[in-house]
Amino acid sequence: MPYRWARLFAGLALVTAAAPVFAEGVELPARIRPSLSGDYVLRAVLSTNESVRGLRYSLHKVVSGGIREEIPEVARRPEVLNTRPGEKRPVVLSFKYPLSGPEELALCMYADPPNPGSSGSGSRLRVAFRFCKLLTLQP
Amino acid sequence: MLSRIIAGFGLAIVGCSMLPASAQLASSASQFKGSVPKICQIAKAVNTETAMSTKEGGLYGETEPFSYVSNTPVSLQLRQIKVEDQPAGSTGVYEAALKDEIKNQDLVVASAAQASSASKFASPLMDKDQFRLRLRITPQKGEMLTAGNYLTTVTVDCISPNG
Repeated sequence: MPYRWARLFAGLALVTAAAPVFAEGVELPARIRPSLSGDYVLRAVLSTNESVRGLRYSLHKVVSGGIREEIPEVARRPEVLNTRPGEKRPVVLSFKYPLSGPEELALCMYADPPNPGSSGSGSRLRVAFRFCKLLTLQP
Repeated sequence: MLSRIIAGFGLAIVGCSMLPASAQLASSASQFKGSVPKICQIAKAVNTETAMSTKEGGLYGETEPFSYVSNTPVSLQLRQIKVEDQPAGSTGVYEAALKDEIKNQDLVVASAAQASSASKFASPLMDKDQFRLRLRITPQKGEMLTAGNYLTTVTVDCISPNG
């Protein structure tokens, strides 16, 4: 009898293992404090569920829950990544950010849409999707 | 013996899958004390390009419906309307809107000068939740829209909370 239950659990385990896994996302600490040097050091992990050539990321101010301008110090050092499905790509961002109280930022990852004009002429609307995740900076 | 091994293996996997997600992550990335990835995955239509057509003296384009899947509440924002190309001298007015197809209402609206607000954090999304993006380019009052090709990129941000 116990083996019957065990087999049932084993079957359930196989079903769980076979379920689709969404690996796409950004892993971030919920909040960071400045290091001893006074800089903020943000360690994040980017992952995509399919191969992406030209994956980029950007760090933004957040106002009223909305994404606003980029943090210039990070924007000046753009990095372009190529990822494989499920691969976890660690990135480290170091930046100065004067703060008087806790403030929210967002790390966004995205891939640029294909080059303009790649699919015919005429007036066109292109859509670029980005994924952003919030974090809190603490003084 | 074999059935015991299979049973033990099965119980171990079931046990692991029932751990809190943070514990699972900790075991896979112990060097980094991060939070669990929150998912806002495009289920359909990534980086689409849609032809625009003339309508009421302006230009109008609308994407096919697209959807996200997420395991947490997410917020959507039209971050940017980027004018990639337009005829010289054009003074067209750009307005983009993200429409919730199920509720049949605009979630957020943006102009070329200003990003939209972010929508309120909504329930986790499934692929049956559908959205559609539309862009309208209209002439200034009393003017005609300059003829030529317009190419515009609208950025849609899916924002996930943390912690």
